[in-house]
Amino acid sequence: MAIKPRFFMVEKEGRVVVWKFYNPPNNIWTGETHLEFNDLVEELYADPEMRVGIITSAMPDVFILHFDVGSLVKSGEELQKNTPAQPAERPKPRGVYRRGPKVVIAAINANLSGGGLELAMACDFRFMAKNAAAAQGEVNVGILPGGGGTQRMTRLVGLPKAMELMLTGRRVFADEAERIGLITRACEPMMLMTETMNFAKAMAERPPLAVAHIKKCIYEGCDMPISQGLEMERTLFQELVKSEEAMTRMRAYVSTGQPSPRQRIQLELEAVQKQWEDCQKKP
Amino acid sequence: MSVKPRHFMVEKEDKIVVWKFFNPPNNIWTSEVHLEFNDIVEDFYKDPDTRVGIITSAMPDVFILHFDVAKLVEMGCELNDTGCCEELERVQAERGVYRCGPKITIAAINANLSGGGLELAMACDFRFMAKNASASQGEVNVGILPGSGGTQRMTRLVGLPRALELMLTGRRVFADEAERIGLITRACDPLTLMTETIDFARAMAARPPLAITHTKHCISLAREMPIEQGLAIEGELFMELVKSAEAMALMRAYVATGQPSPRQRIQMELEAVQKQWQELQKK
Repeated sequence: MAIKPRFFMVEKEGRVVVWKFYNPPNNIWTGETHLEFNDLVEELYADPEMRVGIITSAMPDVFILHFDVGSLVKSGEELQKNTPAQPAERPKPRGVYRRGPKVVIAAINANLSGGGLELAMACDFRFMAKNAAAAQGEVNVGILPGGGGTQRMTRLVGLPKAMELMLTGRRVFADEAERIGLITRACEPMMLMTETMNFAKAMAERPPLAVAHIKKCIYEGCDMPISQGLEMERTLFQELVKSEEAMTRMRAYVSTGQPSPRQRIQLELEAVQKQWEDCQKKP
Repeated sequence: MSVKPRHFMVEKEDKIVVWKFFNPPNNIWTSEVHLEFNDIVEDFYKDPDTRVGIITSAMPDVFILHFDVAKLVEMGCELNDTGCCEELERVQAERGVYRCGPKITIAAINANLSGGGLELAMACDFRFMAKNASASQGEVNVGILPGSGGTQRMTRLVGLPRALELMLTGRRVFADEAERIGLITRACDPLTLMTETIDFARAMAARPPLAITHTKHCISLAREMPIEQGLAIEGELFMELVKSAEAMALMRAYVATGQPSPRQRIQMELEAVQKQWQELQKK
């Protein structure tokens, strides 16, 4: 994207890019912000320097309210007036909705519902402040979650919970959301960005091709018969195992002399001990 | 297999066979071990006298460390040089426990496991794990992916979001968490791991074999096809079972007991527990 984004403040830190959504007064998601965000994510996928993207909100009391209902009414009126002879071809999913090769994380700092939750569910991981609540309440205005919500939520939390949440539209706080699998982790509000950033940095250090292929195997594999999934896994495994990066890393691993399980535990204990000592030193 | 296995101690007890893996110093899983184990399991599937197979480790501090990484480097080189690697193809074939066989296999995880070891355990029907053991799927750290069905089987066991987290971070999971998220069947006290596993295996061995085979088959198909097709197959196999001699005999016996009322049934169960308790006291 050559133009400066209008609704996002973009900050880069190492290989991690943070997009802070800002559309006052209510952080409503519109057609315009949607396209702009897709461009930003595609830009991340294309940038060889960057590895992980984090979407969060620049407003303290709302992450993303929901999609612009006013514009939905207008589209409804238009569809009523002139029903197209043929339904318009659906555009191909873009940005985070197409599950690209890099990791995208939602750092949910405040309440979200509707399209906001659908966006978060399209990300790979969701970190959520414990005082935030999520709701998928489309049913209350007579529509359905049309941004992938019915499909993605069902795959995240399973059939019975998905039924309950989308048919009642009730709010779910972070603790429950974590328990049912809707989010990755519920965080103390003060620690949300730190925890998300730490996780993102760990992700950014992992070999990018392995990350991309594992994502692909998991997402595509869960939607096909296991025999096909295994076939895909086998092919991608062979591609990785002969790659330069994997060979280097595996050689390094082997040449460390492969500590025995007991030594390994010892090493981990020493690492924890060191962390603890470092912690103590800090004022 | 006519040859005596080199890496497994095989013990038979009634209808249960226990394979104790022993490949010191670190219990690494090699191609040789892999092929040997596949042969053992295929033999077990054919043997009419055994019903349940248990894989465990003969070493106290490691179950299966992981697949032989040095070998993977060699395989990578061969793939780069010649474009194909026969040994890798053989290792990745769907045989032994990796295909959905007719009999029950259980992993009794007595100590830590990672990589290929966890993939093997996930290919079994049930996993009993000692509470002091931990599991990790850390392939991403050396730039490869879990290539023995890990991306497919873990996703089906723990669901999409957790699978993504565990395989992209490669973090360790202890038995209690593993049980909570569905990665294992049961977390056991280390001292009673084998007792609990054998008890469970005995109960399985006592059940009618054809019913077990068909139930396993139907369940393994549940996620692989639209529900109409799954129901059709279930119906077919049900008919086959209901007319089998074994089922007829069991159903007749059940009817002939005069079909106890729900209250009598609870009474009978209480008496059975009482009896168990008294026997325990006598020991």
